[in-house]
Amino acid sequence: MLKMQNLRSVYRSDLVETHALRDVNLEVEAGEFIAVTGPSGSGKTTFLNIAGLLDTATSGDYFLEGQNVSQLKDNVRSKIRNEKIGFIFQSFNLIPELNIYENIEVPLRYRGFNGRQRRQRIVQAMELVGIASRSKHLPAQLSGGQQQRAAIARALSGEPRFLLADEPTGNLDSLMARQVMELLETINQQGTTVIMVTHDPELARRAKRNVQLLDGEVSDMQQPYAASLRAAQPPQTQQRTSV
Amino acid sequence: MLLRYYLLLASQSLRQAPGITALVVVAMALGIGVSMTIFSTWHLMSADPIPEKSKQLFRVYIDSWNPESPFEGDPNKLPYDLTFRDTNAILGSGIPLREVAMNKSGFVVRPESAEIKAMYADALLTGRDFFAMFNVPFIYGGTWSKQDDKQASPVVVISQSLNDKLFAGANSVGKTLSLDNRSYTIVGVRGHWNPSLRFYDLENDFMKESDDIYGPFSLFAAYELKPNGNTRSWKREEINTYSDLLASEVIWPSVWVELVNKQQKQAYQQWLDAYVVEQKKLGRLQRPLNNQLKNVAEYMEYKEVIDNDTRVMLLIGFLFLLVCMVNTTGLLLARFLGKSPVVGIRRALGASRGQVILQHLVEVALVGALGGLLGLAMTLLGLELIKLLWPELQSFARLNPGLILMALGLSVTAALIAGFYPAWRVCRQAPAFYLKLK
Repeated sequence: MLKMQNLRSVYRSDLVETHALRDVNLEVEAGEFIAVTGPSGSGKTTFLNIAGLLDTATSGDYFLEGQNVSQLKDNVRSKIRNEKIGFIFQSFNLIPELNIYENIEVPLRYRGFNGRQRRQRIVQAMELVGIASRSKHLPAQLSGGQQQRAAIARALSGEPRFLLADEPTGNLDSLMARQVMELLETINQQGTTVIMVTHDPELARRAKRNVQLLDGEVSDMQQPYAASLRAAQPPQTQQRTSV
Repeated sequence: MLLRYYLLLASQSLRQAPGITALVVVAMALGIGVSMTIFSTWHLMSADPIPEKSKQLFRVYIDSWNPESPFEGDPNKLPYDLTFRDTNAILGSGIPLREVAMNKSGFVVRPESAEIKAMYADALLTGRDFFAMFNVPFIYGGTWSKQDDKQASPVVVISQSLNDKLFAGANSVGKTLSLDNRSYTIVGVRGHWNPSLRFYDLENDFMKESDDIYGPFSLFAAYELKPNGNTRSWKREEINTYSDLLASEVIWPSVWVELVNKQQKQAYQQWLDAYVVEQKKLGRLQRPLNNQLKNVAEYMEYKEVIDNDTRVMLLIGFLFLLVCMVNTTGLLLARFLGKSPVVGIRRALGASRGQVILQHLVEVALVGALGGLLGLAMTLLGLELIKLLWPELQSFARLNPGLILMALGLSVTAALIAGFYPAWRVCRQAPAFYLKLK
């Protein structure tokens, strides 16, 4: 369903060349729940940006549902983002001047849905995440947990096949974090593929598979993150593999 | 459907930043106000005053100037007027559909009613065909007869405004009018006719309103009336009597002919050339053969109705608009880049680069439309100022529906040009770049 082959991402400035991703090879099956972990600067966000077509790789191939999306034009990539991918960000990324209803409506507008179709989907998504009573509120009037729920409702309203979450609980307290995580698990159980970037071992453990990134390289451990940490002692004995 | 959405976003966006919105609108309005004030004046001055027949009305030029040196020392120039004898000679060729001689004059009008004071009125002495040639309307009566032209009958057509003053707007046809203590019979009252300029006589204060009195050209010779306006000559001649003036090389009247097709124009040109060749044999008109027929547009260009000063002013007006556009670009760039994280979110949610550009251009167009409306108000103020400073431009300093539409269109277009770079710039990078800025 999602396949990356020899994916590289290099940022160049006048003085330095930074390898954010190095020959990443990864396959993700439909319905998986993957946690992407790694220390700061390991390339997690770059990985997620490329996976979500928010950025392009320097080289390599990226197949999404069998289609090579590496070299597609901007409008095609945007259409794929709009129809197939949902995003959840650490900082929620709600548009501050729009109320919750209007925020959830944004991707549906670009999708070309009419008013009735939009309303139906928005109400459904808000009910699913439990913020139906907050539709007229501005993001600033909601708690962090409610904002993240709104962001999840926005991501789900288009019924995406992939849900990409970047530290979705990073700005939440533990109670809210648990609720959001349960929500993601429910969504995954309903068939949506979830790829979640996190450095929280607790959350990573709840994913079906962990992918660790270190210095831009993938280490797919096929086991929960916490166990992998134990297995990785001492660090130099850890075996890095591409999947 | 998305366009409506963009309009909604644009109006929201403008309300959210009233300060910067006001700055951009005022910048555009200033540019539009200044450029449109100058442009509308220029446009009305240079507009075709008689589009329905401007290509078939020709002013006749004969080079009757000094054989030794060209008119005004410029070999490309022709004497602006004709001599009286050439004028008389070239009328009656039978080729044009219509032809008239003309020159300005003026009379002291002495009303019958003692309640109305005597007044001076501008007059144009011309042929009976003048009214038909230049599409001049009548409210009462009509032009005088051919016989009146030949016999120099004391007949006149007066303007509606003079008729209003003297006869309270009643039909005055058949009544007499005392002009310079001589009685004239009124045969017609001209209706409202106030072309943007006196295009048929650009030699004499062409910004003045149309004349109040029209009479046969033959009255000049019959009553030895003083020709008003420019009278020039290259030749030293003793002019002691009116007959001396009529027989001299002094140029003062002009001739207009109406030639309806190419063949007629060609035939008239040949006839004119033949006349001059014949005159050359008699020792006159010794300059190289160069008779010209200038239609209305050519005549206006030749007389430089739009002079270089006006062109420079127009250029300055549009340069000012350009400066305002550059300012607008800067303001919009700051505004759009400030909103770039939201652009990142929209891009992440599926907006293509083109859609984001379009969304911003809709906002820019809305600003342009607002700037255009305010600019129109400024244009009206500017035109009032022009009228105040240059009263002679009274008839040009106004707006018509076409100019209003143009001002709005220009404002929206200028705003779109000014806003394109900021709109493009705000989504030049991949969406991830803008999300990082949040």
